[in-house]
Parts: sequence; C-alpha cells; structure tokens
Amino acid sequence: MLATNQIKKDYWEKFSVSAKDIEYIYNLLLEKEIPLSSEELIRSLISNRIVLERQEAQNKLQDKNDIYLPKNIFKTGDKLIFPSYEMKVGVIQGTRDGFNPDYEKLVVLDVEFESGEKRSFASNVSDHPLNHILDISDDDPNYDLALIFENHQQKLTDTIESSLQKNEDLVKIAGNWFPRSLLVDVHVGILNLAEAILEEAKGGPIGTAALMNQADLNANVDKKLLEFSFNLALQEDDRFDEVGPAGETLWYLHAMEPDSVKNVPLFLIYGEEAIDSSSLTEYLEVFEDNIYDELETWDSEGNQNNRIIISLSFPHWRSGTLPLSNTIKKMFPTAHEAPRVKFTFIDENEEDNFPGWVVRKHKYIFGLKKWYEDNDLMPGSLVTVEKGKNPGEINISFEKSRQNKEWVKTVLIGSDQAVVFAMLKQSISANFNERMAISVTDIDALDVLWDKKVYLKEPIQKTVTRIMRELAKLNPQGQVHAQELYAAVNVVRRCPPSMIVHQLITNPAIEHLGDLYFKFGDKEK
Amino acid sequence: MPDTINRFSLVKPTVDTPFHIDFSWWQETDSNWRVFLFSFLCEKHQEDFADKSDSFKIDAVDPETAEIRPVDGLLHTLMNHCAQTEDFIPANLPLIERIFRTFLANGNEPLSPQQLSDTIDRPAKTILVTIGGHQVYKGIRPLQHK
Repeated sequence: MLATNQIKKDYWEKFSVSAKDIEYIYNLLLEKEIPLSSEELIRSLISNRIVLERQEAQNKLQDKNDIYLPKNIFKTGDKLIFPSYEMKVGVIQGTRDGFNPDYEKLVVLDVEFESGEKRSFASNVSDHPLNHILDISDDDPNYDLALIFENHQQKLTDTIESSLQKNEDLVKIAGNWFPRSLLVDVHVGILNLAEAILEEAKGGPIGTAALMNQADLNANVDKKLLEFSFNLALQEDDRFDEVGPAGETLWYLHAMEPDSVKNVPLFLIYGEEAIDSSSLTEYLEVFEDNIYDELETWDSEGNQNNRIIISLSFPHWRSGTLPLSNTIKKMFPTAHEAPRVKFTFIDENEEDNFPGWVVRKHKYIFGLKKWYEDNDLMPGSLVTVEKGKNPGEINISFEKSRQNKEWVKTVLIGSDQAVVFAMLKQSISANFNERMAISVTDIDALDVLWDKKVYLKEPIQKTVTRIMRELAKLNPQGQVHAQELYAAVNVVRRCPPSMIVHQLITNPAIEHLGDLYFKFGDKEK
Repeated sequence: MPDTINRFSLVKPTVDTPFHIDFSWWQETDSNWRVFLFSFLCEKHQEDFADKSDSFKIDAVDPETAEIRPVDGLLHTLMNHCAQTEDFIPANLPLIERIFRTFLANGNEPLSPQQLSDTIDRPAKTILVTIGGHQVYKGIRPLQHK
C-alpha cells in the first residue's frame, strides 16, 4: 500500500496541538455560545483534523501523475513509479494492443526497471483495484472518529487539555470549557449569599443548580452559560470547594470541611525521597494481596474488582483513612478537577451511612475514624469496600472474628520512648492479616512519638534496623518477614513497602533467607 | 541428471485421495482435446475465439499488480469466466460430466471424493468407484506428487 497518501499510523499517537487547533476550538466555542466538555471539544477537533488531512491528501494527488495506475494511458519513454513494486522506477520501452476479452481496450506496456529487470503491465484498464491505491480508504481506522477516540482517548485528552489549560482566554469548570471573555459577571453579593446558604446546610454539599435557585441568580442568558459562569465565580473564590464526583458539580464550604480533609493527617506524611522500585519488583510481588499503600505504584490500575479487602496499616487506622492506591481509586468516586470528592460510606454491618472524602491529591480516603473506633478495629484488621448500589456510595464492612481473644503482636512504649513488641493475648473483633496485625495498648504514648517526630528525625535506615531488631526477638531463629517489618515500622513513622525492602536488601548486615524472610547476619549478632 | 519420472502411484485411492483433471493425460490421449474443451466455452467466448488458433494466448492481468502474464487463452477463459456462470453444472448431468465441470469451475483445485460428494451431492464411495479405477475418464486422476 502506498503510504504517502495516508495519515501515518502513529499520527494520533504523536498528536500535538497546533495554534490553528486552538483557534478552531476558540471559534467553535464562540459559535456555539455555550460551554463544551473536553470530550465534545476533542471529538470536534479530531473531526476537523480528519477533514483537513483528507483535503491535504487530495491536494497531494494532483502531483501524482508519474505514479503507474492501470486506468491511465502512457507512451513509450514515460518514466513511472510502480507502487505495487516497492515504488521502483521503470521506463516504458514499448506498447502494444493486448488481447483479453475482459479488457477490450487493453494496452500492454513493456517496462524496463532501473535494475534492468523487464516486466509487462496493463494500461487503459478502468476497473482494476490498483487504480484506487491513492484513494483514502473509508475503512482506514486513522480516519474513523469513533475508533480514534476509543483507541487514543487518554492521550488525546491529556494533550489537548494540557494545551487548553495554557490558554488564559479559556476557562474550565467541571470538565467544560468556555472563553473567559464571554462569561456572565457574577456579583460578590451572590457569592456571599451562597456562602450563607452552604453554612446553613452545614457546609453542603449543594449542586450548582440548587445553589443558583436558592441564591435567586437569574440573567437573560443561556442557562448552561449562567451555570458555568456561577461555577467559575465559586471556583475562583477560596471560600468554596467543588467536591462532586466526575459529571456532578457539588459545592461545599471550605471552612466547614474536616481538618483531615483540608490538611494531610500527621500519620500519613512521608518525608523520604522516592526511590526507583523497578529493581524491587520481584520482592514487592510477594507481598500479600490485601496490602495497599498509596505511596506505591505497583498495584494495578486496571484491576476491575468491585470488591476489595484492605489490611489496615497503623497510619490509616489512626487517621481514620484508607489508602487511595491505584487499585482502590478505581472503585471510589473521582473528579475531573476537584481535589476533594465527597461521597457516602454505607456500613453494611449496621446498615448505617456516614460521609467520606476522597482526597485525590494526597491519595487517601477520609471519614472512618469513628467507624474504626466503634467496631474495635486495630491495625491489621481486614476491611472490605465495594461499590454501592448508587453512584457516590461505597459499602464498607468487616468480617467479625470467631475468636474473642488471640495472641497478637503488641506494641509497648518504654519510658525512654523506645518501642518494644511482645506477643500478648488481646481482644479481637475482626478478622485480620497476621503479619500486619499490631495491637496498640497505649495510643497516647504513641501519639507523643508522632507529635515529637521522635523516629522521623532519624535516618530511615536506623528506624528499620531498630524495629527489625525488636521483631527478631519474637522468634528463636531471629527471622523477620518484610511485611511484618513494614507494618511495625509504620507504627512509628510512615514508610512504604518498597523503602522497607530497599533498606533490607541494601543493608550488608541483613541476609535474605527467601520468601521475604530476613535476618541479621552472624557478624551483626 | 536423469529426467524426473512421473509415475502414477499404485496405492489404491481412498475417499480422501485428492483428484484433479490431468491435462497431460488429454495431451497424450486426445489430439483434439482443445476442440473438446472449446465446446465448454460460453456462447460469447465461442464467438470471440472463433477465429483464434487452438493454442491462442491471452494477456491475463494480475488482480493485484496489473502485471501482464500471457496464459493459455482457452483454459484461462474457461476456468475464470465460462465455468463460473450459474448454469455451468446442470443438475441432470452424468456423474463424470459433473465431476469434470466441478474441477473446471474451481480452477482445477484438487478435491477428494469426500469433498466432491459435498459439492455434487452423491456418495463419496460412488464417486471413488467411478474415478478411482484403472479406467481414466476425461483425464480425472489422483493428484501425483512429483
């Protein structure tokens, strides 16, 4: 197939936005006079590009007289390019009338190629497929809007949105774009009124349309445009926070949001620099299924599970949060831009519901502190989340333990603020991951360690070694599993699994025994 | 080097043995075989080729590259055009005639009695008994691998 007349295969892969594209989008929005979503703009832009590329291809055709097409008539001495023979060039040495009842006017061309090779070709044949080699096929997926969008949606969305965001003349609210110059001016008095309405509603959330209604916002313009302008005014005012999931614009009073939504909880703050975990994959893969950590990227984003069991780590248990790892974030409501999304937890055990927040930027889900306390959960408890019946609802539950008491690793704090672990019999309410389970008897003493950043001040290597030494005392062989160490280190400071493994395999004093079990070498003993 | 000797297999054919029209058999046994084949052409082509010699060539056009290849005009036209018409294989023809026309219509692609049975709706064993014996009818013989 001749390539010169087609959109290149990687055309959409390598798509970039030109000044003409921006101009096209701007004109489109001016023409429509209503805000359009990113998807609508992208589809329109792709269609426009397809039209332009087709025109360009047609223009190129004008210059293709030297291409051999069987329908044409040629004469001796003509120099032709043969697309079916790898674009080789040949000169016509002679012509003769051909004989074929199917092609009455057939003329045979005797052609000599530059290599000296001689072949004969048909001419004056109107119905040969080769005549259409320069045509643009209707079946070409590179000209098919639906297929292009399906195959390259993410790449195109990222590229186009990134270009539009650099354009100060365009504004985006809740996934919709519009020229700033055409927006309706929203008076500050209306915003003050909106603040009062949200305050009355205990912070919210309230949808834009309802808020407009209650604030009595009217203007003689398209309703969608007015709503868009109001949304922008709210967005540019620090008092308001957009907390709706994708496709829904809900407003909340920023001042009334929980502290742990506005600020990252102390227990979730990680201060170390990121490490390259690609060489640690073989170790990290062995971690158990229910270990999710928002600081890691190795759990699959493509996981389509609608039900996930999560083993609680100490930082999330203490913060009343869950990690928003790649797998888990697929299940929870998300948003185009809103950094915080409000949703509802449905307690399956108690048939109760309570608010939850997805804090997208810092990758955690807040709202579970009371639920953890009410149900006597502990670090290591297994919590199940699944999509609720309605959008914006997440079911949460745990499986009650059959045993009332179990031997569990228990953290004890000495008067010198040193951490010690001991196996003690503790009351248990929920099933738990044995390696992650840690009972906390004196939470106040632990809080002091975190508040004073006692362990955060020292190098991570020192903390890992110190905690490993304590865990090693719990069995005669002195062996420690990496996952146990991960759970235990996180009792005193935030640390992802990859950093734990990195410290273990790079420390010459520590030996890997296999299956993620480690022990101190003989010299260290 | 000695010429390759193309002997027919003495192995008894089965319903799965591929058969075809062996045109060399025609050349050896019937000097007028092309006249015989001419009678299979449709009316239009019989008129078109009325003044041509027995061994005329036509300029076949390659369907992909449009390259010209001189081919046997009679066989090419017969197989690619006339044998492709709807009434080329009437239902009431004798078995041998139907088999012969089936091979002309499929470009002389080898078919076993089993495969022929599906096409012409007669038992494979009947077909095998008819074309698998010592007597060769209309050049229909087992395919020989050289």
